[in-house]
Amino acid sequence: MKSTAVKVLLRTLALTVVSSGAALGFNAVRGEAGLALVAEDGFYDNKVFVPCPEVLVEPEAVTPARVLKWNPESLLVVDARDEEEFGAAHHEGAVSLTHSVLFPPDEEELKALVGRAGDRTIVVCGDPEYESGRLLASELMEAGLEQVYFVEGGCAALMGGEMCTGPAR
Amino acid sequence: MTGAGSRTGAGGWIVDSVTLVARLALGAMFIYASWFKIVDPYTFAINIATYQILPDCLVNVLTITLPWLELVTGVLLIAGAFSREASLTIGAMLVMFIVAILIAMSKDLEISCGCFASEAAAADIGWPKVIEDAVMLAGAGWIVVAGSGRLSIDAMMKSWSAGRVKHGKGEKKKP
Repeated sequence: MKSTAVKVLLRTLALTVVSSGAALGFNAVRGEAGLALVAEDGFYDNKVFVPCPEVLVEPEAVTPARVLKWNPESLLVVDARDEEEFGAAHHEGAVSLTHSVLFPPDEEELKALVGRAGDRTIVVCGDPEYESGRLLASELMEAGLEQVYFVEGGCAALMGGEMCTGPAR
Repeated sequence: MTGAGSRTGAGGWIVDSVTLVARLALGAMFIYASWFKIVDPYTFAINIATYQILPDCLVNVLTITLPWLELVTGVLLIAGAFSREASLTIGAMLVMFIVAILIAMSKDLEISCGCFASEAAAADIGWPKVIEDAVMLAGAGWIVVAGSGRLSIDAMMKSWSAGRVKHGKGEKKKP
């Protein structure tokens, strides 16, 4: 009984050593797809946590009903949801600018948006669960854009029954 | 410990059936779990780092070796070869996972704000995962105690070697 237990333990140890050896060998031959054996101290610090979204400039909320009363030609609806959701259904005439906590819109995207908006009012809709519309509207205002609103209830509320489907723009 | 394939009667078949189910379920789960970790080690490394238990210098070694240990033990369990050893290894890994989750929970990591780069890893930190791992640990413990059962390479090897001894194989025949 005792000798059996010792044998099992020794074989378990051998199994661990052999598996680990195979793992290290595989990692060595897979080149760039593999990992360095030892990561530098602090390497994962900024990869584990990302900054919590902060709203520095609070944009004004508008109801979908109010948006629909505005002259459509004086508005540019910006859709903050991901491109897949935008591609599935979006408000007619909306442009896609996906909001990301990690990557706020860069200078080129902002420039393109300003060019596209001209003197129109920007109305941002997003996913209310993640507040992506509010967060993107805030980021756009921080970047210097004026006349920016976000839609209460997000894109789904804005679209209501009037959905436009088509490829993401 | 009961040897592989040494049980007889209806009770023996019940034990063997439970063992077989435990072996196949645990083996399949560990093979499945190992796959994405081997294919995408970087994401798995971030998952490990999310727990904030290991220093960064040890994260990669664990990232590289752990999935292979899961894969090898999973395959051995399904085949029924070295089942006790594989279960013991899996049990040790499960204890490690449970301890890691409990430590992460005791640190009161803020997981509700969605601030973790690895939301999947953060979602795993909680009692449901502890219970899931504890159930698997019980399965691994069962196999360690009960052995591989009849439908296993271990049992085949045992009956083969018993047959050799019984028939005196390996001894020189007299002319």
